[in-house]
Amino acid sequence: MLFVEFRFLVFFLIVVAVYWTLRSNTWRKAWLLLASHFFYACFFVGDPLAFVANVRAGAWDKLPTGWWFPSLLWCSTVVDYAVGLGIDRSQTRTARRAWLLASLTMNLGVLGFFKYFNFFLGNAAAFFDWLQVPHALRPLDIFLPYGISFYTFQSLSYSIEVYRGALPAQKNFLNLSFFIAFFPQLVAGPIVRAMKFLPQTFEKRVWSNVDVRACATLFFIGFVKKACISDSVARVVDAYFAAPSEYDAYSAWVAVVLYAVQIYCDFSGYTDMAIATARLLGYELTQNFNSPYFSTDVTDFWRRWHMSLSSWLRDYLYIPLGGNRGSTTFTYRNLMLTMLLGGLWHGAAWNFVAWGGFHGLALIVHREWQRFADKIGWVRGVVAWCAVPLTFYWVCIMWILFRAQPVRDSSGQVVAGSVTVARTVLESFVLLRSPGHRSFSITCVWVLVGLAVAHWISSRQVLAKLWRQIPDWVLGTLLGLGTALALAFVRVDYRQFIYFQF
Amino acid sequence: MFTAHAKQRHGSLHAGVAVSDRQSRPQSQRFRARLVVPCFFVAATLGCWAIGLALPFREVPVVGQKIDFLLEHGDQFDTLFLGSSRVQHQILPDVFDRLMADAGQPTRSFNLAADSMRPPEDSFVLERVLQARTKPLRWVFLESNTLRVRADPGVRGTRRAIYWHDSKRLYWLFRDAFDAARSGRTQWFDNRRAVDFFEHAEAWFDNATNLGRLTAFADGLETNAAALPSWNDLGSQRDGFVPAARPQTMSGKDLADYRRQLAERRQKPALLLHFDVNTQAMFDEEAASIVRAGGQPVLLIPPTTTTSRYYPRADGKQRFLVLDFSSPVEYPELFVEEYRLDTTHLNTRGAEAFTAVLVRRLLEIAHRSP
Repeated sequence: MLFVEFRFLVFFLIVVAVYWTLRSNTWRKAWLLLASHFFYACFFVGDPLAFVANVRAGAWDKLPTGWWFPSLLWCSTVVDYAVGLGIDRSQTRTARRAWLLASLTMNLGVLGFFKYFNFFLGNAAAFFDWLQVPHALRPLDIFLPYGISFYTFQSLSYSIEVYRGALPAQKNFLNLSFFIAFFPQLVAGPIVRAMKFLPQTFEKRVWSNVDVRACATLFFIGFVKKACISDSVARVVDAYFAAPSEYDAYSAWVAVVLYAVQIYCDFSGYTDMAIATARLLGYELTQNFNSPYFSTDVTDFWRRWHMSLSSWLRDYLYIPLGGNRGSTTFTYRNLMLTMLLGGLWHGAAWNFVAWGGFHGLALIVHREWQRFADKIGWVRGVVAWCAVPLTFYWVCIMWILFRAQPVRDSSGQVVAGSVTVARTVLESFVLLRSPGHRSFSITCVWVLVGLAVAHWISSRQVLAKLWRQIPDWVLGTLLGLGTALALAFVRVDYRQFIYFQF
Repeated sequence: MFTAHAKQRHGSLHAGVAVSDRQSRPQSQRFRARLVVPCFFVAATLGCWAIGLALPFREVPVVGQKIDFLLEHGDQFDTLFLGSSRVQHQILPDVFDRLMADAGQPTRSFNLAADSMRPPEDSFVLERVLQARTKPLRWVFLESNTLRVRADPGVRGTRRAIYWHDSKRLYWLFRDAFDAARSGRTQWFDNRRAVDFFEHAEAWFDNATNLGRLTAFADGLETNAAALPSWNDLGSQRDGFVPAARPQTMSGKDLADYRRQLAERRQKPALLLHFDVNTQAMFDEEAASIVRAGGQPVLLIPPTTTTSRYYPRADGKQRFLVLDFSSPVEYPELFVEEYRLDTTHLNTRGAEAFTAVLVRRLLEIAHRSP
């Protein structure tokens, strides 16, 4: 059940209507917890009636793959609930650390198995093959549960904060389970910290504090980004990356930049809708994007892109590793490790690791550059005027690594590996050298210009002042007309959110 | 250690839109704020309606081309065939026209059928095609099939699943889902039907909101050349017949199933059932529109080995000519293994034979009637 589907609208209207009718805060949270698990289960059970019928008949083999995945969410919650209480009651640091280790082992173990087992197994098999050592390593048929990367990190934030003493252990199981399973951010973030969310659960939410106007506007913007822009440009991107050697360099540029647009609109659009949905229920989620393509350098980019993940990695990985508290080499080691693991979080494939690694390298280079530029002040001034386009150019090059997937023919056979694809696209994009002659429509350029202007306007909050002055009924009318137009641009064959695969 | 964050809000939305403080607004302002919702719905409804009027018919694989072609050239044809793959791949209009002309009954026919087309989709297609006609029809052959709310899960969310979901079709499906007495059931509520109807309601919503009708713009970004209509889905003769894209002979399980079912049908003919009240009412409406267009509605039961076949009800408002080819005893030439794809479909050679038998039967009836 995606946010852009009609069935989500029906689901959400029912959830909101019942939620705000209930008087008790406890009942409200229980209702949202039930709704969240229903929402999550919809991703796995397929036809609900067939599912129930098969369960009743004991026909377990007929149940869809991963039907039992919602139980992983419960397991994670129960473990961290127990860990929180265990840490709270422990007298010694060793005992507290043991509890935290249990949480880390369980949560990361489950995540590691589902997400990385076949990856490491495949690499081990390739290594043995290279050594010509016989082996019986075969990949398992593992299906990745949606959202596991997100809710695992969210759940871990609770255990870590309790361990650090920044958060008391939750005695109320409902609060914790509600925090972890809350459906607006369950499957694709933002990764909400326990410290930011749990206090909101203590007080009953008040309808008069809900700004319906702002929520409706934000949801509409997110919807347009995801369902209209991202899914529309995906056609061009998919066509190019399916056969990059057939296209010319102009098309390489168009496709890569449009991929940057696609992934930003897809992910930030989802986040906007998640935040708006949560606000309509009275809860605040974490901001996740801040006009990242107007970053002035790569460090700035990582302060604006997927902010909930980058801050999580900073607080729970980079700083515990030592952060920048040691020598320069030590700092750079920590930075590189954090970025490599951040890349690996996105997917069990070497292209993601490379993506993270190169971004880590860029961060290091930027730090060195800053030290150099500090000594020669005029250099900073010269570079400042091209900082934004240079940073965007670098980010686009990195997106090539991110997007490069093996090209398969109609029978599913790999005809070009991801390395070959990445190399072809990089040559076209960076060196403007491509063997192909196919070309995308020149309209793509105007589309990109239009999107860039719209993005600039939104980053400058130019319309914010105007938005505040518009009467409510005018805003409602504009949103209604805008929705009618936006729906016509929604692709009928719904595309999964890109970040669902993580 | 913790402060409740209930009243804390961000200074601005990251999308560049500011959040306004509603806590101290007077009642009149709160009332006007509530206008957001009804204004939104009214504007969205009117906007969807206006966009639907302004846009051309939705691009739908196969069916869309056939409809577009008939809207342009419909008056050139006076006989139509409508139904599922059992009509689309089994009736050759050029053979039909030639044999009818040889018998002194010249006609020009078009195969409007499409894979998986069944009521009420066929009624939508017929209604759409008839609205542009200026010349009278002769015959319209409708495949005998019942109204069924259960949808094919494979097509859910596709343009083909959405395009025909207008209010009238949704109403028919609603009746089939919940009108137990008329549908011949004892319970008015059935979980399965309720869920299936919800999927249709979803498709109706997608259609009413013109979902995807402007995606052609995005599709056009892929290429510099403007796409020209190719009429690929109309077949080599541009009469709507397209051969089935499968191996032309049976083997393995298909052959075994066919032989078994054929033996059963030879022993005992397919059970003769009548349409439920809702299906009958829908076919009556189709028949009435055909008659208004000057044509004769013909109910067609293709040569299959299924266990049942459906006839119109005796109390139906319209009179149908029924051509039933389901008996392997009466039409053994249509059940020859070399002519079959499976229990319900003929291959191209079989389609030629079927078309010839159809013409013969039609002419027999035409000679007998006054």
